Amino acid sequence: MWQDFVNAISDLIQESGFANLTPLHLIMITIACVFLYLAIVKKYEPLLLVPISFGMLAANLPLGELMHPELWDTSPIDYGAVLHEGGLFDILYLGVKLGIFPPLIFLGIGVMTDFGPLIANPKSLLLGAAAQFGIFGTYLGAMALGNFTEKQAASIAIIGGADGPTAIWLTTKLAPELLGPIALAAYSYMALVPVIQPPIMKALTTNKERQIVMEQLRPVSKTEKILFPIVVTLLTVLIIPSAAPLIAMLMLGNLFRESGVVGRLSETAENALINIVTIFLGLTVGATASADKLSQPGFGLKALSIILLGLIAFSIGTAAGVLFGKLMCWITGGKVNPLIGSAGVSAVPMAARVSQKVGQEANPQNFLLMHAMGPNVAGVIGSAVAAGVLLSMVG
Amino acid sequence: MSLRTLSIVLVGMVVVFSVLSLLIISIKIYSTIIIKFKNRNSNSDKNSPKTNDVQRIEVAETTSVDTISTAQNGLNPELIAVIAAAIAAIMGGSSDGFKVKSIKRIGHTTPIWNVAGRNEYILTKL
Repeated sequence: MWQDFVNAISDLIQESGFANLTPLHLIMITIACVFLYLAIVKKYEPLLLVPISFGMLAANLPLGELMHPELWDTSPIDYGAVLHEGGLFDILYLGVKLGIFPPLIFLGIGVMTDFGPLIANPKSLLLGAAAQFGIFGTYLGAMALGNFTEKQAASIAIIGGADGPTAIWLTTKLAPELLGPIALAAYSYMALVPVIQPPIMKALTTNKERQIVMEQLRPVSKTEKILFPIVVTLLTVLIIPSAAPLIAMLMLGNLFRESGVVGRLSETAENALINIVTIFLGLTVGATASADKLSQPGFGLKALSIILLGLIAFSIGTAAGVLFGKLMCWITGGKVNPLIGSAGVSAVPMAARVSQKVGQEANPQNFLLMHAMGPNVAGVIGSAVAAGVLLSMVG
Repeated sequence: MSLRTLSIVLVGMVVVFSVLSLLIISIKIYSTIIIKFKNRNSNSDKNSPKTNDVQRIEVAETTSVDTISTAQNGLNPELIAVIAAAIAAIMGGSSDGFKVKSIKRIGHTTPIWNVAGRNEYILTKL
């Protein structure tokens, strides 16, 4: 009787997570807790970092069977096995793996974005393009390091686009094994935009340039706003078909907003839908950061290089945007404040707020926000185009 | 550094710049067309005879405002209309009995602490 009791208890202990906990699991759980702390206490992109880090925490508890990384490591992936043997996170992860969630998030972003400042001043698209130097500069850096394949380097470089959904979309297509660290780096740096950008912006501009007051933007008519998503979709998708999922959904969302005839659809896309998708996306992206990945030789070093390269990507993007802004300032005879260039790295609307803040430090009467929104939303289009280019060239 | 890496970087940047430049051109073209089309419409409206007195007054006001706006930088017809409407509202809702002769931006008289506080408030709401 006593022996049975002891056996039962010891079996229970053997089957519990505690018995199967390895130091690697503990490391991953600690990392997850650090990110939870950053999200909850420091409020770094909490809407994404909370689901991501909790997904990481839950997936790294042994025997929980929420996520089975081994199902996703086979090539080609056996989707039948995923459906039959997969856990909760495996099934939700299908939306990431098949490239469904990031475009749906773009649909919501499209509804939330006002392209008016961009239509009023189309030249700001050039600033959005210049900031994409961050992506390609980092690609060069990652290839120079030598321990990344072409596809991995392209996925790391896209962190410089400062666009979470784009980074996740491209990484699942090119280098899904790095999805966890890349998504974490992308979202962490997006939250750190107000810390990373100002020193670079101040170093590259003179006080006089920062004080430049820009002309008020012209009002944009409704017809122009409605035509914009249609024209952008037609042109961009015809030139770079691989960017279609992101651009088409972004522009569909914007058409919902500007047409004004589908209020219910746009309300759903910008509230309920984007929130639901964000929960699924965050949770499962976090869950891909599993302990057995850490045990692979060299993965820790790779993760560290990704974090470092991500920072470089952001910095190059910001610097390229500001420098191009200086060029435009010079060409227009001092009508463009170079500070709006840094907003070209997308990270909407944080980067535009940073331009506004730095501009106001130099001249308290200056309101750069709307001027910076132009390059800011152009950056979203720019990074989606860059992702499409990388996918078609490297993929 | 392999040649392929460099070519990917070069082609990538060229494609991104050319796609976005193409977008700039197309936005400019269709904006110009729309603005011209609208101007033509509003011109033909102005030329047609008005039966309603109120409409005639509106047209007269816009033309006079247009001449002012070219003279003074930074003032557009909408801004003048808003300022005139604000004066009318504070004078009791009637447009009789006053004439807006000039609108001048006065220097910065708000205490700096008020400006700082206001900016901080705006930034928290962004």
